[in-house]
Amino acid sequence: MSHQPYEDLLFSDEELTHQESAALHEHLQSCESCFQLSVAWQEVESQLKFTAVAAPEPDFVNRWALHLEADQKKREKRQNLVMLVTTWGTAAILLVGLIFLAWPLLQSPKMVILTYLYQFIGLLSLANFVQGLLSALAEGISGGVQLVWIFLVVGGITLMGVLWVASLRYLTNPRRVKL
Amino acid sequence: MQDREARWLIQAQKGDPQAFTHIVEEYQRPVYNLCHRMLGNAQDAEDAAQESFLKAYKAMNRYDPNRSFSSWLLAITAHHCIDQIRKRRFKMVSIEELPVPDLPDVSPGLETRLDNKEERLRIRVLLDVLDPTDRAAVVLYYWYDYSYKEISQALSLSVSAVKSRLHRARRAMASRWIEQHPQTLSAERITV
Repeated sequence: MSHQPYEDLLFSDEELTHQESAALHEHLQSCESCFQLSVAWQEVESQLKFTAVAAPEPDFVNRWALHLEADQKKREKRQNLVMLVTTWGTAAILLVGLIFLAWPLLQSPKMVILTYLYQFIGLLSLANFVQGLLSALAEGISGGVQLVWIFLVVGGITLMGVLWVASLRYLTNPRRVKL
Repeated sequence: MQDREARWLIQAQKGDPQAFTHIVEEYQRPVYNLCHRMLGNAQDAEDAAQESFLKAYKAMNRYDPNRSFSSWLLAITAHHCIDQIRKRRFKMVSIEELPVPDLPDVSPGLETRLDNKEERLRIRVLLDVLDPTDRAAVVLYYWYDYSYKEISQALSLSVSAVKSRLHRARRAMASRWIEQHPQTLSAERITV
């Protein structure tokens, strides 16, 4: 015989119909295990329904305030530790990078010094070339164009620049962007 | 009262610890009771209740004011207790080995205190047989008068899952009762 339908009725918290109630009652008369379950469930249910609400020890709120404070301190400590580790980690990475870059210098300093010297001389030659170019350009302009034109061109460029900056500020004004 | 609570909640959402302390004062008993029924002893219940309030405080910016605050808080507490029970399983301590610490007792008589202690132990033995989620469902149903829907929301389950879990829990607790009190039940059969 299957006990499942009767157990479903027994542990249901919905109100049983007359038929269901009668069927359950009849089954409980003849079935020892279901009868025991029924009595046990009544006991358990009364325990669950009438057991009082447990209360915390006094000063729970004060302990909460201390708990919160301790947690905040712990969090601050953790943040400081993370900051320290990050700083020292970055410093260590930079140091390793520096060592990596300086490694050839430590291995064969003569070659590196010669390379830098060659690059420095190349830089000086370039500066000399640019200086010559600029002086030739200035001489050409001063010889061919009148001074008044130079003033006009420079003044025009300055005016255009001022207008450009002003219009840029006007257009990027937050109020205009919102519209 | 509700206006005051709403004001505390708004202030707590802005990160005011003083406002949240008022909330702790208001809800300490329901939160502690849930922890006590779930974990079975006063010390673990105290720790879990404190931790649940801390979790709620940190998650206040995620609290939806349209939802009931007590349901939200008890859901956090129930999930925390379920996690604690699952962690505790590794220790494999028998229920009989655990001490039953005295709770603050309002009753003066020794007899009443003993009755309360026995009652607590009986409830603990019954609830201990249940899976943590089933236990949470039982506690919310019988101590907090939660509906199936409210339990399903608190425990992130479907309503039908809550019904079947409660059914299974009732069956398990009744069987446990039979194991614990075989003579009483036989006597009842004779008297019927």
